[in-house]
Amino acid sequence: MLKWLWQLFKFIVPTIFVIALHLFFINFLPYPFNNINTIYFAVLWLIMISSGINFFLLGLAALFVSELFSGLPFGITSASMLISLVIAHWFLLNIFTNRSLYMVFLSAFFGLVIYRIIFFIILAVYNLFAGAALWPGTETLADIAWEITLTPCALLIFYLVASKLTKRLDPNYIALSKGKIYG
Amino acid sequence: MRTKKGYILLVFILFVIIVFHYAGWLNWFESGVRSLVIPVSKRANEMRISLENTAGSSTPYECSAQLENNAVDQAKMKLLADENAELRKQLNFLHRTNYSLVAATVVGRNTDSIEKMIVIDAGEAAGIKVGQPAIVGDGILIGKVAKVDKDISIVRLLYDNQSKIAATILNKDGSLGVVEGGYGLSVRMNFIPRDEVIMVGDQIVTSGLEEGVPRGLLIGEVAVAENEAYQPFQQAVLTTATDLSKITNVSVVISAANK
Repeated sequence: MLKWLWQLFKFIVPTIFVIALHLFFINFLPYPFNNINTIYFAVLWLIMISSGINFFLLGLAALFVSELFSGLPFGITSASMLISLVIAHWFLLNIFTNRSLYMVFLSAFFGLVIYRIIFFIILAVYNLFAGAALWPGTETLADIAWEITLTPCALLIFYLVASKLTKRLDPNYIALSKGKIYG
Repeated sequence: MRTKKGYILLVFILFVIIVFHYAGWLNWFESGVRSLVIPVSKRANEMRISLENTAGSSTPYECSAQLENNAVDQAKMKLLADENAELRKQLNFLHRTNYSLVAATVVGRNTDSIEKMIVIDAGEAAGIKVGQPAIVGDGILIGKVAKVDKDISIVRLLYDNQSKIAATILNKDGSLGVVEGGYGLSVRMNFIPRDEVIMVGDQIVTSGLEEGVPRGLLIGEVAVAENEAYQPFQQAVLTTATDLSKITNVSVVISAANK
């Protein structure tokens, strides 16, 4: 029973933390920094430091809450982000395996590009039936450009700082010790 | 292999959540989650507006803690005074017109950066429907309701990419057009006939040609008029009548007919 409660606690607390962080970024950071995608940032960070897919559930929970306060049709954000995170996870396990800073940046960058492509395809299909404008305006594209640029940068900085604090994330240490922590 | 099974499980969970949501089987859970998040989000929104209000009059860092506390108190007082003035204006508007209004508090901004929307704490239960106009002050339009749930609604602000409002300019021609967002913090009025004269400073109001949106709600005024020879219509860049990033209380016009 206690073990089960501990598992639940380990799931709920990070989810609340991610949602709180998301609210903080949206409300308090000035433009363009409020475009940093906190949920994507958090989930990608967690799947980078652990090979398991349990953290996807955390992302799913945070996305569920996020969708309750979104004007977009329910499910579009969750579906597109989950698909892109699965693709990013596969890339991290099979292609971007060395966890250098470049790989961290690239995985976040490509993951977000894939996320927004899938997002706009689904949204365009929805808008086709809803009679709304199919494609986003220039202002929206600018916001997305900021999101795709700033989120990997934030992840890069966070990873850089974390790799100085812990050997587990230091690519040099991993290479020297031949330690296998991923895959 | 284990990972592949995990991926399939994730997609299945997502599919179940989406189906259950649209079937309405998650309403109780969603209401519970909302009631937990709304107070936090509302507080965050109030703090953001309070910070933005005090940003222009911030004191130098050498000032004592006492002065800082006074500044915080002043910001709170100003916020309350603004809210009070705002509610009085909305009450005056209600008395002056025959509209049925639902008053609501802004509890946050929407969670996706690509949308320019606000979340308000009144929904279907209060009689709000999609497409109804949201106003502040003495009849200033800020947007239209884009999504409604039982206890909250999401209002699409004028400068959102998908925002379109039928409008008229208060000039001698009574020019008609469509006010559209998607141009940063400004909005544009398109489809104005080229032979009509529009002047900087002309006020723009809703035309009443849209169902559910009464005529005469103030949108803003003309900042720039663009009449290009190669364009079939002229355009006007507008400045909105209110700062759309600092809204705390709104009213939704649920009926423009006689009460």
